[in-house]
Amino acid sequence: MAWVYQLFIAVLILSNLSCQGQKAADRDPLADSNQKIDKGDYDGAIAQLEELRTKDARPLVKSALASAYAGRAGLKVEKLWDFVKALNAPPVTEESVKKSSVFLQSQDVISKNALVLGKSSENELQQLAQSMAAFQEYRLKIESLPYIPQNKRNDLRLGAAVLKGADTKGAHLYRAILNLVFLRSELQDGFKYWGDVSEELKKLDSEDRKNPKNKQILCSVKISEFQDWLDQQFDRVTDISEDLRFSFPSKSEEMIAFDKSIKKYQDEVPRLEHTLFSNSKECR
Amino acid sequence: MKTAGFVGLLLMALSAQAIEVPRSIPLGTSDFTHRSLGTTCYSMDAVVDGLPCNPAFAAKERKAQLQTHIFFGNNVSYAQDVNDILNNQTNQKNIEHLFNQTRSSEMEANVEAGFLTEKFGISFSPYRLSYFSLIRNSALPIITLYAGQEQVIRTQLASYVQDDFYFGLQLRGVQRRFILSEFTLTDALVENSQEDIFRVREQKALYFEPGLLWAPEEQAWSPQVSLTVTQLGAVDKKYTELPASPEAHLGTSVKPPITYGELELGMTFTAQSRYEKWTELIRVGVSYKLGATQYVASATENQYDLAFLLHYKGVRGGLTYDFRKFVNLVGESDEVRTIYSQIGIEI
Repeated sequence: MAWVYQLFIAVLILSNLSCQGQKAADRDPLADSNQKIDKGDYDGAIAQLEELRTKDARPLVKSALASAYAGRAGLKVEKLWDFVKALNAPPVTEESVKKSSVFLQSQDVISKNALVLGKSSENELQQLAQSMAAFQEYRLKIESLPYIPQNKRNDLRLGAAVLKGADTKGAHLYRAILNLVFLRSELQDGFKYWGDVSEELKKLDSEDRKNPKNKQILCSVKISEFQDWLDQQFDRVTDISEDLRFSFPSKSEEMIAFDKSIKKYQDEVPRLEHTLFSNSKECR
Repeated sequence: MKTAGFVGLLLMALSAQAIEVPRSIPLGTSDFTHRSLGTTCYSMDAVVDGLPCNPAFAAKERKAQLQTHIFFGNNVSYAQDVNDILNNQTNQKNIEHLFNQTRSSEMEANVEAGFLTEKFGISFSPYRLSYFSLIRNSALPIITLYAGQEQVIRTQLASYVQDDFYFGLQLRGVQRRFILSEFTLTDALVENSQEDIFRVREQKALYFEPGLLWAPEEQAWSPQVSLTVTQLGAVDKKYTELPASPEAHLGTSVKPPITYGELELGMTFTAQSRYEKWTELIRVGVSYKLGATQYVASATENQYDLAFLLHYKGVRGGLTYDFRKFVNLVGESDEVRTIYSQIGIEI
């Protein structure tokens, strides 16, 4: 019977030895960071994961860090479920742009005030209206995404930056989602500004071009900043498209076609020395 | 030398890394006896179905019996997910199902047929399904997922040794297909995610599981002391995420004489590699049989099971209520309750 006791003692000793080893190996700092995220301690998780990513190359570390930034911004991906399921690039065609309500309404105001604006400013505004109309298609597609207030948007940007050049398709998709949420929030603000501009332009006195009120209104339009903002959004869309192409290779052609269509409107954003508006010589 | 040999064999079975999946899911046995009595089944006579947990008990068997049973939990809806995942047919519905859970989930289902006679037993399970998932990180859900499908064949040989000692050996052959993966929600939603994260792996394992029983006859309370070693074996492919360190179960049981029915009390100490508190290693169990009914209960530090079984002319059906306490993802005490059902036929 001696061998039975030997067997039992061996199992007992080895079980306990392995226990110490396994418990040490189990202490994954990533699990600890995930727990911090679940508790809402995003600052703690970010500090821990920023340090961890310098020595741990696992893709999940970067994704967790990006998610900690997103969490601090107030974004939880579980809210995006329906959106992710329906994810695809919206078609942007000349026809859809010309039929867009944004374009039609802007066109109405611009043509009504053509004489006040002058040819150059009228063109600038028309091209901006087209760009906004192109974004309108995108905006409708991503409207179900959550809006993140401007003061928290920097965390979304940081989260997306962590995942730039990531190795996994899932990380690229997550980066695309963060940028889409960013874009959705920016577009909401941008369209509000565009709406305000349209309202102001409606107040122009088209009967009396020299009315000093007209100059006051036109000089209040921050057209240059708005153009820079549009440029940033176009770049963001291109970035999103690149990430989605990585995550869904079979949709590459669709995405490339979309890129081309949106690029057309980006290229048309006016780069002229403005004759009117806040940064023109007349207004300075 | 003999001890050194054992140590060598055991070291081969040990692995440096652990997984967060409870061992009983990928490595355990899914049947009514194991579920309701837990580890106390290694030391008690109160076998409800199938082969005895400790193979040495087969030496005490006096009648030949052929048994079949189906065992499943109330979360059997996951069976479809397990099938889809393991057959490379994972779809959006499966993924939605996985990520719509709010905490850890598990499922077991088993179909088994067995034959037991004096000193010999054999059983075959053509279809054992097991599933476990754990979700963390509410900002970007990360899931740890185990889904396995097994065929298991068990053979038990047992004999009386001497001085009221019985010895038995169980050979357990397992062929398993499983996925064990950790991934984010977005990893699961991308194109061709199956290739990256739902990669099905295969493993064949052969376990040598000896059991020893001391059961003196003609004693008023029928005391028994037993020792069983499980998960001792070899695999054709070793996966670091799926370690199989052996466990030793040292137990005792008595049958206090009572006027009506048959009462059995048991207690088992398990030496195993993963535990938080030593009290988790001790489990107590009780079985009471009266006529066609049998009531079983067992408990350990964070878990208890209550079971009821009805035998009627070779047909038996039963329910087990399983309650488990655990520390959840945010470090709070949480609970999970599962009801398991079993239907069996005995000839």
